Amino acid sequence: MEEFEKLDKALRVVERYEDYLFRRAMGVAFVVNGLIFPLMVLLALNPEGPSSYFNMDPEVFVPLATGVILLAGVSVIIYVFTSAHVVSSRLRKTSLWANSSHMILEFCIWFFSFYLTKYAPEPYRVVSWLWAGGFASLATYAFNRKTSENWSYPELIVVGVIVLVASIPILPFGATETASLISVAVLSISFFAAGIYSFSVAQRFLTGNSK
Amino acid sequence: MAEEDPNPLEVLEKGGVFASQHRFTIMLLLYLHKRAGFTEVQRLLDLTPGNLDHHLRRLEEIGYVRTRHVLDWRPLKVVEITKLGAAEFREYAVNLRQLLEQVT
Repeated sequence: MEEFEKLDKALRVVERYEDYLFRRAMGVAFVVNGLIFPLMVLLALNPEGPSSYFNMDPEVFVPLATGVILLAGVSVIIYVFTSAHVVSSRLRKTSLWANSSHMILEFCIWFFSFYLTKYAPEPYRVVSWLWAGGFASLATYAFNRKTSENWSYPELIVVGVIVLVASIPILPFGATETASLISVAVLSISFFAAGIYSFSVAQRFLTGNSK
Repeated sequence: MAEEDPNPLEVLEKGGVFASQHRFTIMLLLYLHKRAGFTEVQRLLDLTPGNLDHHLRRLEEIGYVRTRHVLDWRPLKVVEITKLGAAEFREYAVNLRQLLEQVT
């Protein structure tokens, strides 16, 4: 029985370590998103400067640079998740059906949230994207919390609340370029905040103070 | 008891180095994840650096783990399991499972 207790204690430590790795990888994913998203938007809004620096035609440079940024970001995210084997350990905790049905329903939440933005009146077009993102984040969090304890991430609340609250002062700007730039900055800040929150949660799993 | 069943005393004796809860946990963690940061293991097990170092040195002396310094975004001490360590721990875990099956 002593051996059994020893094994049980060791498994609890391993589980905490896997939760730590997963949260840390999520933090990296949020921070990378917070970096690449504004970079791509700024590149699309102002292609002349960087393309002349590289002596390239802006029409060739923008898709090429966007592709490189996207590829680099996605590669970093895939690397941090796969290098620690955290995805497989997390997937093992829930059944294949639960995972796939979750992903389909989450996709529906995000798809319909952004699909509805095309019905927003013209002055609210830019802000409606923030509302869609904020609503989808909060809805995904609520859905996950209700249906599975393994896929419940408060980071989504951080993103949702920041985006929704920040959308209020952007309203008077209407559908202007200034509103677009502020919206991008808000999204970026919300991703960074979610990333920092994720890192702090990860540290709590290391010390066993996650509850 | 079948002949191929492990003798409980033999299992415990062979796993002498794993008798310590901390060393067993370190080996299980490394067996499943290949490597881990020194500081992370220290915080997971709630040990002082000196205490963890003592356990790691015991495991290093018999060739089950090795530590090395890598350059991440800051210098990092990493603990890795060796092939010998993985093989020995696998054997110990299999014996332990058989032993627990006998008991329960």
